[in-house]
Amino acid sequence: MNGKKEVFMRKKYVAYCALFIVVSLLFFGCDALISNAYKTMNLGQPDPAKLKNDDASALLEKSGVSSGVVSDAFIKAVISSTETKEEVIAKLEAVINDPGTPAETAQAAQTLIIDIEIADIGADILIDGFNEALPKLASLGGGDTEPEVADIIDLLIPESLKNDSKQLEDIIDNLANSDLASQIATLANLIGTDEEGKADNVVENLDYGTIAQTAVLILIVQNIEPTDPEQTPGQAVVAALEALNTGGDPGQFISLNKDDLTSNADLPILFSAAGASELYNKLMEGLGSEGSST
Amino acid sequence: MKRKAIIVIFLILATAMASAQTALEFTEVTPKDARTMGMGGAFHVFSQGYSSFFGNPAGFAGANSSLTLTDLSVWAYLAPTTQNVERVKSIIDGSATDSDILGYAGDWIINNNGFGAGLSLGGGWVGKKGIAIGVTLVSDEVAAGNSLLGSKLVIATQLNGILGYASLFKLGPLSLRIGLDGRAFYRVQSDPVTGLPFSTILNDVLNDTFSLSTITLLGGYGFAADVGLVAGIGPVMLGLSARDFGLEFKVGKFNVQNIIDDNISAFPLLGTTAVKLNPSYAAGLGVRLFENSKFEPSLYTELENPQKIFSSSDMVASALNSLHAGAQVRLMRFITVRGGLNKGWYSLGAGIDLSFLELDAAIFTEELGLYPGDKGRSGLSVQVGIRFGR
Repeated sequence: MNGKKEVFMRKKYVAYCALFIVVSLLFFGCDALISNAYKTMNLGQPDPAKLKNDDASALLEKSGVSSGVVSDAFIKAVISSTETKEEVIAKLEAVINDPGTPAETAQAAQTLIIDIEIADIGADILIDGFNEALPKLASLGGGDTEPEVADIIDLLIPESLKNDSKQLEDIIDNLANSDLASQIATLANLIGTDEEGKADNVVENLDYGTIAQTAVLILIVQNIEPTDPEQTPGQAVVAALEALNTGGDPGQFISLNKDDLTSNADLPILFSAAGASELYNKLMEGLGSEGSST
Repeated sequence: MKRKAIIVIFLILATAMASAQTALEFTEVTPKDARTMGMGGAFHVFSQGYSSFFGNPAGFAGANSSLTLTDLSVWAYLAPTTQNVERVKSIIDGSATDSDILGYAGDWIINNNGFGAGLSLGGGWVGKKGIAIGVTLVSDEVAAGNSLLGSKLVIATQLNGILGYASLFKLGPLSLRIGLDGRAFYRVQSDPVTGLPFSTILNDVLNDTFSLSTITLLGGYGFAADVGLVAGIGPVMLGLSARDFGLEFKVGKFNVQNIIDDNISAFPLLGTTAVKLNPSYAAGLGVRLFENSKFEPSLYTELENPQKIFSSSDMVASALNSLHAGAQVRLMRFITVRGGLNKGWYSLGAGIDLSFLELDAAIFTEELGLYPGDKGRSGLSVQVGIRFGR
């Protein structure tokens, strides 16, 4: 009888020890576990040399864009070589420019071009950080009160970039000088509008929400005007951020051309396609306009 | 002879069911139980006993019978890092502001490739002669997307009543287990393509303007069959499983407020939208040594939907992105330690089997993207079972 009890007690102690080890591993070993062995060894990753030779249909399939989630590994492979990037974009543009291309293919191709260009200029970090900012931007100002430039800058720049002024300057300048606004206009044009002004050719599974959010950020950056004409937009934003951090007035360094932003014809189409017209209206109200999307 | 004839008829029926063509496609709601996830998701083909209700029906043919009074698995798609634990605590204790919550949600959607939770609850009996009967409920809710604004909430819940049968054939040193099961199920699902607008729902919840009537779901009942086989020589096993062959079924729309108002009668029985089940296949190789001894190691590798590898334009990427590998060591017949590679992502788990009470836990990351390491979603799973027999 005592022997059985002893075995049971031993099992109990071993069980407690095992439980302790498991809980410890779960809570302290997690960070180390979140890595992919194959990716570390570069196994099974998209090959830039092969992508260069793929046709547009294969590129769209390999990017995942038509399923709504664009592959980061694909984008990374494309931008790893200028030659691959140019080939890929040329093939995608050929598809978009072909009048016989179905709407879903043309829009997917255009979305992919936007994603490639954003990643190529390193602005994806700014776009990702804009998640939290967008709803807050919509709640700025309102009524007769226009939002301060300081508020917009504070929302626009993620914490990780606030501490790296060189990277921030480069990203803002690259974004400001890019042709992304016209790429977004092309996408909005492909979507089109119906008689009520709502998005017309809405394709299932394309992530319009993210595109709309990205478009807002790009247009904000492209409508930043440095007060000092000698400064680039990137330099002006960094100076404004420094002023913000030291209690100065960021408005001395930059202003935002809100009229260009609120009268932009592409944004309401993208927000309508995303089913977020209400957010668009709030956003425009936040920026001091009355909103126009239906 | 009669047994073999029944199996052949089921196989033919299952193949015929798979050929149905419809508009919407539903994929099986699979439990992310701690045992499977701790081994990198590699425990479907070589599942045994109760696990075979979700894995390979051939696993019903075992030497031991088991009665599962309750098996509860709960999982969360959230990396259990100290930062996330603090965030969850701040949401629960109310110290997180609305904008904090929006920020956390956005961060989890981008950096964890989505977040959510699920559970699996069930019970069943697996007899010595290979007959199995069980009831399971599996629910999985995930918010995912490229951004908070573009995120979708996908809800899927399925209640199953399962009747299975498996048989063991011995051909000299070769053992062959063949199994099949039939399931009657009721499925509740958000639109699998468009999902629900998560950003809108979250904002409405935070602004106190949320209404359950805005959550429109699809519901309907159907029938499905699963088949599988495991061949073994000594400790080495080779297995195949095919799940979710189902007849086309119909679903109807309802909203969650209907359930509050009208209870169970709100679930539609005669919908008009046709749905096809999306069958899944798995092939695996396993080694199980010193079964039922004090030191019982086993190793499993599985390929998920291996047929897709051959049609892929990049077969290496596709094969690696389908590969689950895992190992477990059962010590002193009551402690189990597990580890695995889930499409390249590490997983870790452990379990304790105290007579009829089983406790298991695992941390895992699963791949959602097209390439290994592309879109990993981490999570934590805990499983509690009250079970007699293995």
